[in-house]
Amino acid sequence: MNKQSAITPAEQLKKKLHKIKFSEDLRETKKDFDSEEFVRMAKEVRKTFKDDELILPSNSSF
Amino acid sequence: MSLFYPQTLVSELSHRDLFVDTNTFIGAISHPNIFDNLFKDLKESGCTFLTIPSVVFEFTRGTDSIQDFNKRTKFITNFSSIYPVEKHLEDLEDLTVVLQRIQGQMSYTDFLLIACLYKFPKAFLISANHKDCPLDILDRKFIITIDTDKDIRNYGIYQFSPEKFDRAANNILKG
Repeated sequence: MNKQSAITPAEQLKKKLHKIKFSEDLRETKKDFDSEEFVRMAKEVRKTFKDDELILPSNSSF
Repeated sequence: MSLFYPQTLVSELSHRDLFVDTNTFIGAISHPNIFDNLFKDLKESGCTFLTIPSVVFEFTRGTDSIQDFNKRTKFITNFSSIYPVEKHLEDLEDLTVVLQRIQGQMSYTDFLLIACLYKFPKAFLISANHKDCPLDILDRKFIITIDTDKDIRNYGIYQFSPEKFDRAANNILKG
């Protein structure tokens, strides 16, 4: 009887998550900056925050 | 909405490494139309945007779904490289002692960001968290001011100062 290997919930979750890759040599692989893409992505990310999470402490003093 | 910064900022950061803290990412997503020209100019000058894993952790905290988590991580990884500073924490005893003496309540993330400046003295850090960027060991090289019409916010560009660090270390040696 063949034993079917089941994928665990943790493995399923790992597959769904965007992989965060690290750079050891301080050189980024992507050098071009796309303003439209930056603004578009920033606005999308902005929607994932609650308003009170975006309130930063006053920093008028140093 | 306006952004003010010194004319020499872009040339001074040309082909240099710029570490970005959590509050700067939050500022950027709050006002992307203000930040994008500056970021574009810096990137075109060869400036490399970097951050560290604990900043990614802080920036992604509080997401309610996998989709939201992925949006935030894709944003950060699209515009900066992630330097795994935690793999390179050797030989930081002197920095640890000095920082604990001058800024005992500093968060671990802020310590790691300053550790990056200590390890890469030609690199810079952009931060809105000035109280945790001690001028006892850092130079504040530039100030970027953002007027959002509702608020005025200052971001500092910091760099490690070996001379100041030596003075701070000497103070500890003197007891």
